[in-house]
Amino acid sequence: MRFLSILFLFCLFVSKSYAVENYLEYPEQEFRAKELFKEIRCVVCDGESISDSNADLAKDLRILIRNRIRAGDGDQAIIEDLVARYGQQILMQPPVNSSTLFLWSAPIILLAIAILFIIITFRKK
Amino acid sequence: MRPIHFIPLFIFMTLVVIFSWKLYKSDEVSKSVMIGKNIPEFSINTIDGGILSNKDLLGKKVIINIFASWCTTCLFEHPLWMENKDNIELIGIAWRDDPKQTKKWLERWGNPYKIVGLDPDSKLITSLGVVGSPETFFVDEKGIIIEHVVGVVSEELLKNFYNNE
Repeated sequence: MRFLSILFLFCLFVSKSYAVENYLEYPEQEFRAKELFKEIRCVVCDGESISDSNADLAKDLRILIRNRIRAGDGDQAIIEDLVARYGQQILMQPPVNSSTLFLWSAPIILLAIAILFIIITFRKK
Repeated sequence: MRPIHFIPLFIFMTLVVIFSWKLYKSDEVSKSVMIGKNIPEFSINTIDGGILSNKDLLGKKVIINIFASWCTTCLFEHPLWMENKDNIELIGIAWRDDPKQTKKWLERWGNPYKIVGLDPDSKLITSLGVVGSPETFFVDEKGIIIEHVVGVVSEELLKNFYNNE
């Protein structure tokens, strides 16, 4: 029974989701790829980048990015292409533009409010 | 406490209301970024041993349906395709599937597709911005994506696609 359990776990470990991907031939290219993976969200996961995810779609996107690097495409072109297909949601960090300005400035606004409140309170004392 | 002490609280509550409203709005279905774009160039093998390319889709309204034998949700919309298969130009793309399994699945549940393309390595689906199956693209005669449905297609959408000339 113990042997069967171990065998079952072994089969799970070597299943499709753990299949080895073909890394890029040149270390600098593979480094670029890994850096890009951290910027791209796994859209079927919960808050993970494709760098961290074992999901099939994440693996497919890693392969796609490696192929694009191998073909000579620049990082920005690869990112723009993914955004064109999946939307801004594919990025781990939303870009800073007019539609996200409020999102990015909200923490600063909240901090300013807190400081203002402290100043007013201590001034009174 | 003087009224001025309530200003930070008021601003904070305003932000809470705004963020709550934005969060509520985010539950609504957002429009796919692929709508209005051309079908990307592709060339894939079909289940019959032929080749399917984006050029084959021009000149008529087509529906591209991403499905798989392992996709249980696909079975929910399959009856809709079977009911309407004679009236629509439905192209199936078997995603990450073993062709033998795809054939078995189609034999069991019926084949509504004019052509079944194979995308075992997700090359086509990643160029379409697909995240899962079923997903369906409604494409006009010029190869422009009119609608992109994530999940099960409704009968109303199907009728509207062919009724709007």
